[in-house]
Amino acid sequence: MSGPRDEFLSEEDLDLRNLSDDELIAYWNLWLEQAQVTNSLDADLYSHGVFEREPEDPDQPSDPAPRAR
Amino acid sequence: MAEVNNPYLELTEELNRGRLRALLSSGQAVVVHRLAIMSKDGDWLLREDAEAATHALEVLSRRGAWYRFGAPLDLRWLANGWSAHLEFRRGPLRLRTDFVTRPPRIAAGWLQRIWETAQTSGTEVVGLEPLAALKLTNREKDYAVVGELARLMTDPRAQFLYSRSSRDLIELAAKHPAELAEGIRQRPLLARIGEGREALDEALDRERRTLMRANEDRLGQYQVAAESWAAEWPAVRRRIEGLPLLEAHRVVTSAAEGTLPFAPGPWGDP
Repeated sequence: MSGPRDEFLSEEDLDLRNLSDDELIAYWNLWLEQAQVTNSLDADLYSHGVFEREPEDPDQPSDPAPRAR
Repeated sequence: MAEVNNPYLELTEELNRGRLRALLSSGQAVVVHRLAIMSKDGDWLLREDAEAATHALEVLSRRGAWYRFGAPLDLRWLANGWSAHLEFRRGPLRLRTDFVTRPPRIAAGWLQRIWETAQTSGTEVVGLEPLAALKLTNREKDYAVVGELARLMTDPRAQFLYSRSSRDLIELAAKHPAELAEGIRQRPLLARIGEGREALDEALDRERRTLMRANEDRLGQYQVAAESWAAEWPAVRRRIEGLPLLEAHRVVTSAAEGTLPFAPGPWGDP
């Protein structure tokens, strides 16, 4: 298509198309490793399926985590 | 698929060893389609048969996985739209593995065709159109993904159904009037293409909000149905702590029977 486009994702996101298969997997793995820093923030949350968060254990109350959705 | 040395691709391969049982879905499928990396959790569409469920449990058991709160990986629940959630560690990675057999917004006939197509083509990843349907969630960010997925589709009829861009839709309509007429029956906002971008953008926004609320309502039904199970879960979790997964599965399944209804609505049981 010519002219301006409606933009949904950043150029950086879409640049995955220009990576070789090996580069894609290396970048993907690196991204997963770096994303582990947020594990404590989303420990009780769900990103798929029909459940939204882990039920709180009344015997072991914890600080509320931010909602993902 | 590329040489397998990504944890989610490796797991998909293992789930499918000897037979196609699972299609990589959601955020990790978006990566395979080379759109964006947006999620660290894994999600699979599992074939709805007992052998597939058993195999998945065995694979995860060998990886030292444990159950998170959710439905048991058991067809009585999965066949009614529930999701099962497990997790394991690999080195520095927390790998979450989520499973459904009845994904939302995908009717039974379409689901059957998805499996037939995957079997024929040998693909282990959910295709563009069903992935777009899965992404019509209550999360704003998923609609950006749907918009880009639509641009990867080659069939204009599919693009008409999933495009999130007024510009793209207007251009498509000029090139494919017959497909537009067909699309209007399935997606009413397409009838507004002739009214221009502003009207179409408003219709796209309204459609997105409607879809988001519909998904919220769907999740709400499951949340209500799972209230008793949620109350019981902390005790169940303590009982399965440290157990091998297959043993934990028996405990979780036994505890869920009679507590988590197989179907989420008032029409369900027990």
